[in-house]
Amino acid sequence: MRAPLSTAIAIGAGIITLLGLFIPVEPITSLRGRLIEWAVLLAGVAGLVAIVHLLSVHWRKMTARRNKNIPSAFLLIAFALTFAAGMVLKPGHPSMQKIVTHIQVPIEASLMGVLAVTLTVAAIRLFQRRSGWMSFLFAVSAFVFLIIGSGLLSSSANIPVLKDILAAVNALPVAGARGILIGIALGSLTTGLRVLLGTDRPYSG
Amino acid sequence: MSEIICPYCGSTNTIDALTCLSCNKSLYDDVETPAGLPQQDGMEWLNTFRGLESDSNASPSTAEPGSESADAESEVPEWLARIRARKVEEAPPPEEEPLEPDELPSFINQDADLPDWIKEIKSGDIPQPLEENTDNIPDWLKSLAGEDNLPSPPAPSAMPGISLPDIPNDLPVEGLDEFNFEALTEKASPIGPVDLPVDTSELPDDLFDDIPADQPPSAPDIDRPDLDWLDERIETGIPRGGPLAQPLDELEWLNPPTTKQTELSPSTEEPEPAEPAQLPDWMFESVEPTADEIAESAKFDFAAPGSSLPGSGDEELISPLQEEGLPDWLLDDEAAPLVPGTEYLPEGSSDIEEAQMPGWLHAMRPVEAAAPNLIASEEENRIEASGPLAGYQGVLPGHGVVTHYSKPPVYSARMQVTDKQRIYATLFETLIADETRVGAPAAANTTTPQLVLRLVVGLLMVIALLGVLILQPGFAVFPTLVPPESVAFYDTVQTLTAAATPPRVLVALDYDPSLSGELRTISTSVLEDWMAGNSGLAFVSISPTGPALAAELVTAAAVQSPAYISAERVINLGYLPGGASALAALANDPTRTAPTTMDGLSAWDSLLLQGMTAVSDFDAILLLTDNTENSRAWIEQVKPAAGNAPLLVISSAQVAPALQPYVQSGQITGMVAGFMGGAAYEQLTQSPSGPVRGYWDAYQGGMLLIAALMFIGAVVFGIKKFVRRNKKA
Repeated sequence: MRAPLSTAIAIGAGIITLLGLFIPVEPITSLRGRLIEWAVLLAGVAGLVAIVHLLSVHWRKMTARRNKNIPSAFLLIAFALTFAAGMVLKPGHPSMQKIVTHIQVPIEASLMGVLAVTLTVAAIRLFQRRSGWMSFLFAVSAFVFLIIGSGLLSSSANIPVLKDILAAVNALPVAGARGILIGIALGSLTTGLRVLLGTDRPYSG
Repeated sequence: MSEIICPYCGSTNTIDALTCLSCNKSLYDDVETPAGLPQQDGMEWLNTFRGLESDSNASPSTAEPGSESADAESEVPEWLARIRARKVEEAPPPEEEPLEPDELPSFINQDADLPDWIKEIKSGDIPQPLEENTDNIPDWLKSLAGEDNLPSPPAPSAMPGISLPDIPNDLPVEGLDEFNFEALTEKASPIGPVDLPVDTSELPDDLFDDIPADQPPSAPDIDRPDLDWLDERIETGIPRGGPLAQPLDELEWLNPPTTKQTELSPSTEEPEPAEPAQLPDWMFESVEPTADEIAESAKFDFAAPGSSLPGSGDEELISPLQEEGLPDWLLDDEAAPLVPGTEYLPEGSSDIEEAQMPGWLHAMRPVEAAAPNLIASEEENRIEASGPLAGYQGVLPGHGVVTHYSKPPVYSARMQVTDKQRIYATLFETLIADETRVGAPAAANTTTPQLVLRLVVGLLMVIALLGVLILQPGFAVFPTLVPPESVAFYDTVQTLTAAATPPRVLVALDYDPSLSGELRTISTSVLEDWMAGNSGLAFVSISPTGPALAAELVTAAAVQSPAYISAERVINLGYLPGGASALAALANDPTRTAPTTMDGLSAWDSLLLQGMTAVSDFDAILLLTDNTENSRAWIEQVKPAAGNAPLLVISSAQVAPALQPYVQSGQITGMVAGFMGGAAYEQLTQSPSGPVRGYWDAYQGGMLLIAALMFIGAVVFGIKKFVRRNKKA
């Protein structure tokens, strides 16, 4: 067996956690809570490791002999300044929070704006690149939900026929989302059983 | 190959030679086989046996050429001619002159219509069956005929006797199995039961009446005269004449039967003995069976296969295999006494007559049993030299097989492909490659129209949205139809804030800065209501940017609630790493999972969270999310631990469809989704200056603008494609 110790630890931890969920007995629930706390700590450490790895990658790109990546230097400099300010000012300081609200939020919001324009152009050119029944159906559905999402028809929803039509159209994405959630649940259940039975061992490398 | 072999001397001559250099005879003369010489067909022994040397001069081949008889007999086989010549020599001189053909009945003269045997009768040529039939008759039959088992005389009515000489001729050896041995034993007549080839009873009687009585074997009294001449020969010891060249006393094997023959009823015909020169020597070397052996043979029982088989000529049949050459088992069987008690005799077996095994059946012993030494192979004589069986003889050879090692053959795994198959494989591979290859997009005419299109669409949207935001035209109408989940959300908030004790709400901020514009706008009015009810708000996030966004959100909402003291009623528990695991830990024990605030103070010792140890101690859980997976994690991990605390969700429009099932199942108490939900909530709160209302014109205008651009673009490109297709057509 490959990595028997890791397999035993993973299966044991999974079984204890599952038993603690269904059997609320004190020793098991305490042990289950302890294991989950260890998982949270490991996730925090993994975040730190990811940060270190990100810095090392950009450091190698910046110090490469050929094709040096200049933006990597900006990232390293920004990280150093933010880390220093956080260590000095603490994360709850208003100035530290403005780093997020005045830099990160506008940048990401701008990217969402660009994405909106790009999606609109792609929708306009849909019939130029690929025409067919599927393209026509997608265009019609997008057009209909844009009209409904805008709230233009909500003021006239008292009309009996239109009310029923809007209710039926709004039920379509809900039905699709319910199917997706059922698929996700079955996939999660299968993955959990595979890990508990030792069939799937993502921890063994 | 250019040689000529002399047909006289066999010497080799050149191709141009006309005469042989050795014997000076012509090389091209026809060489005839000398008359009188036997044919070199490998049958010299038979000719010698038949006494050809002495009779060669009498062969018909010596007839003068040119005669009619010589021409006719040239087509006759040699053996037949020789038989005929001998028959002429051995034929007894006629005692009387035969009848003239005119004296015979007319139908007798019709020789062409009569069978051969009748012709022979007519011509008085009684066939001499013994000469030819002694070779066909088996020895056991001869012995039976020569002993006391002479055939009984058949009834004159059943056997006219005239056709009896043909019986031995037509009796095949294979037909011996048709003999009735029981009748043979009982009646001591081996010839009696044999069916005649021709039923003489059907012949007309006048055919025999017309034959002169002085003809040699006449039909009515052929039995008695035949026996008479035989008795006469026995008594006088003088042959009747004819073919017997040997004196009768040399035929010792014939004497005992003849003595007994007189005691029995006369047989229909006694075959004459053959010439000793025509008989093999072993016939004269045989030992005549004694009377006891004959009696014992009569008692032979087939139920006892191990019993001996004396008599019936067995000794003569196996005479080439001498007694010392016989296997032991055979000798033992002969010497072993017959024990009747050991046999299986069924009931009534005493009535069954004992049968007698014929000699030819006894002779069918396996050859290996008779001569085992001849078949003994070299393998059986080999003595094992090694191994645990060393010293044994006749052991199956195994040493050489085991020790002999041969390298196993190596087969090539390379596929043998012919040129034709290779061509087909290449063609098939080409077909597959065409199917899997993605077609390149149609090349644009120029890059300028695409860039212009993007710029036009972008500028149009920016200008339209900015113009609406700045001008606030107010053309958009708030929705009059409010979703039920928004109503439930509103009712829950109003219920909790209307309580005497200010509620404590766990606010889970879980959205990215990219969507903070939508969620912050929607959440601001909701937080204003909570702040209006002096609710305690504990923020926690599983996103790294969550704590900062929470501070910003509180700041924006507190503007509309100046009496609300955020420092006392709001606490930020910070960021929880680990995703779903962090939420599970928070649901299990929030005091251990998020023990401190963003400032490093003990969170659960503060006035807001004092006395709280579990998630269920909160009055409500408010989730602000734009992520489906994180929403599921909150619903699945935290909601079960929340107890009766309602779960309220403020989500972006893109997550709303995924959360609708949880709303319908009751896991989510109320939900405000997107700008539509925010507008509906503000519609319910009757807030005249809500943040959603300020963006509502721009939001609805932007959505309609995008829909219009998509419609216009589809129509334009559709028309262009239709025009191009018509031009190509």
